[in-house]
Amino acid sequence: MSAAPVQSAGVVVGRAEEAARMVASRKRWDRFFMIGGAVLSFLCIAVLAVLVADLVRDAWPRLEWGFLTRDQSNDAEQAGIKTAILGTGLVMLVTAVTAIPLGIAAGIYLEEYAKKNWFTTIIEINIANLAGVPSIIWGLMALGLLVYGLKTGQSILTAGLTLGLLVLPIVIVATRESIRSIPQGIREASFACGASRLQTVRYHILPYSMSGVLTGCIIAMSRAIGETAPLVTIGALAYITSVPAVPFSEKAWPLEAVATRAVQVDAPIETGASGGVMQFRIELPDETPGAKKHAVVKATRDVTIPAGASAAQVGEAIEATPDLTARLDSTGLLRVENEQFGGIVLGKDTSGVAAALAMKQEGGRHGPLDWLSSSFTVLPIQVFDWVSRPQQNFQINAAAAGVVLVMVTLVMNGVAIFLRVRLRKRLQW
Amino acid sequence: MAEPIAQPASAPQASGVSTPVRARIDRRSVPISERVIEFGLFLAGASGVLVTVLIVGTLVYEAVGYFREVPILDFLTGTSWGPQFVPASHGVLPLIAGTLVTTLVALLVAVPVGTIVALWLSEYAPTKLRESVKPVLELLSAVPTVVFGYFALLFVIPILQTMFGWVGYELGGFNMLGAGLVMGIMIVPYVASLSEDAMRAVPKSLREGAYAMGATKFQTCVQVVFPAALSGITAAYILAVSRALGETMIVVVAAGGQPNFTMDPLQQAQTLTAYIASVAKGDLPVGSIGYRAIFAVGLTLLVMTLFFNVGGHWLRQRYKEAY
Repeated sequence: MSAAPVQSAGVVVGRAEEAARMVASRKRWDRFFMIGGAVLSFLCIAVLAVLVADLVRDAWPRLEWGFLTRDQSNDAEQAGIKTAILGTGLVMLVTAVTAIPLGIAAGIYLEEYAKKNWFTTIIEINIANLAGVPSIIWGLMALGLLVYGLKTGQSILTAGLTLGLLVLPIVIVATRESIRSIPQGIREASFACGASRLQTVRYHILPYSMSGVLTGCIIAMSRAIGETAPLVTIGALAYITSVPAVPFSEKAWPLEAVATRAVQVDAPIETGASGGVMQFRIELPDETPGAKKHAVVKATRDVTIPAGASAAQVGEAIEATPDLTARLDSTGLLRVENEQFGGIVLGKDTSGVAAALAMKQEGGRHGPLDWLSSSFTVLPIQVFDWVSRPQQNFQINAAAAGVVLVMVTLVMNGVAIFLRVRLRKRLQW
Repeated sequence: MAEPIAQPASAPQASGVSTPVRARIDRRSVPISERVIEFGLFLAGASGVLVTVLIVGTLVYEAVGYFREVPILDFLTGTSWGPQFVPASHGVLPLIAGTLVTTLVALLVAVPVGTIVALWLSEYAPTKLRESVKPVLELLSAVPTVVFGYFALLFVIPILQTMFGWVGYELGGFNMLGAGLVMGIMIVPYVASLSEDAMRAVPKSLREGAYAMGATKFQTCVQVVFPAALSGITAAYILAVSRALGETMIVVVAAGGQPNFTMDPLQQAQTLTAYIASVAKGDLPVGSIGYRAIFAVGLTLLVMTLFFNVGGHWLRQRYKEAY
């Protein structure tokens, strides 16, 4: 009888101790997680810092003004990113012209005009899904539809349109979110004053949502600047020595200097003393194992084609050159091929070659929009091309171009974040 | 934009007290110019649908041409990939294996780290700190992926090589582990940012209930906030998966250039995306089997992404809790 209470007291004491231990352990876990979470969060930020620092350290020998203003070159130390910066600028121009008006218009439609019906639902689901489509798929779409379907070629126009459509969902979502934060009362007040829906949008909705839309556009453009995969897929070339066709400037050589993985064509060297001889040089790389892509030049082949040559004559001239064959591919492009290294596209077509030769002699001028069909290179393509080369020297270049690219995107995102934070503070409806 | 519609006579009237959403307008009173602009806006809205149709159409069109020559069963079950070689082999499994391995490595980094960072930001971090840490974290996701590729190849993999050297393993200069790790780091901000939004949307009363029962912050995190936000967190994970599946530049730079049917992350291998990027450089002859193969691979990737998205949507619906 007397043993029971003693025992239960013992149990109570035991339980209290156990509870205290439990609380202590829980608190330990709590503290552990608090510190662990903080460490992990700052580790992530540290990764960003390490990434930038590593890039800058690797790039150090190239970080000078000349790197930005020099032309492309096969010599790493002489190579610069002038054409890449120009290409990025022009491609972004096309992207902005495509994505921004279309995105804002779509956002306005969905928020202000769309009725609640099945089609609107489809559009909404669709935009949400588009944002999740891998970027390389956009490249495939552009390759099949634009490059070969509409024959826009591997041009600034193709690249700009592709990236423009790719970032379209970002602009649409940003526009919608920004418009949705405008209170209903604003619209009602505008209607009450007799404004039409369009006037309401034009004088109230659009101005009030402008900073949110702007933030979205900046984010979209910074995403487009760094996007590489779709451009690789459509065949953007890293080795571009000429700047895109400047409006109203004298027409450059019509044959595009196109380089592919294996073979590089320098732009036609000269028009020739006789005033119409076309010459170009094809460099055949040395194919030693392990250095397959960008190895040293082993041999060159010079092809000379007389002015006004017919398609057959151009073909003959190329066929007469050792190791080279010529053919028209299914898209009507003249391809010069080498058994070992594959083919390169030379010009639009053989008759075009002849016609363009004549044009050169006449001194034609570029139209205002000719640059759209120029071939191009952009910063991320340049980084990709250089980083895939085995030589140490080119990897320095890759790092340097990477520094420029990262700086541009970080600054753009920084501005966007700043705008967003300021906006949240200022706009209290 | 000119405003020819400003005359009061033609201005439409909002009839009666408008509902909170839309004012009802008699269509006939809307001037023609305004209706034209309205139609233009509609076209812009519908452009997204058009783009989807174009994407799917292009992929399916070329892929159908491919599958006319290659039986679809061989494509899906073959273990060797090399449509451009002689003799050609058309089994996509090596590319799928590469994609799954790199994705898995990336998720093993991004999911735990992202979730912990999100919990910490939402539950532990002081407001001021959170307001400054989160934007900086988001900057990490703004770095172009090709730069991450550089980082993987020339910074992370050499470190891994040294570390594996200590245990006597010779790690190759290209491997899926390094590429996957960096991909994971790249995805952390997405997971953290979206999960944190979901966690912050959990009502305060739930936390207060937990605290009232004597729970610690950690217990509240794990047993209350996390389950309550699970729907949103799942959405974040799904986004992470589709990002990892579709990521191209990191794997094409750092994971290697040969298809390799293996599940070993220490090996080099090619993913679906890397194959497309390394082969499609604009010099494949149109209509050739190699050209069509990249569209078949692209379609495979799109279907995989779609599968995870639909699955994720279903999961989200299951865990959805309304408060």
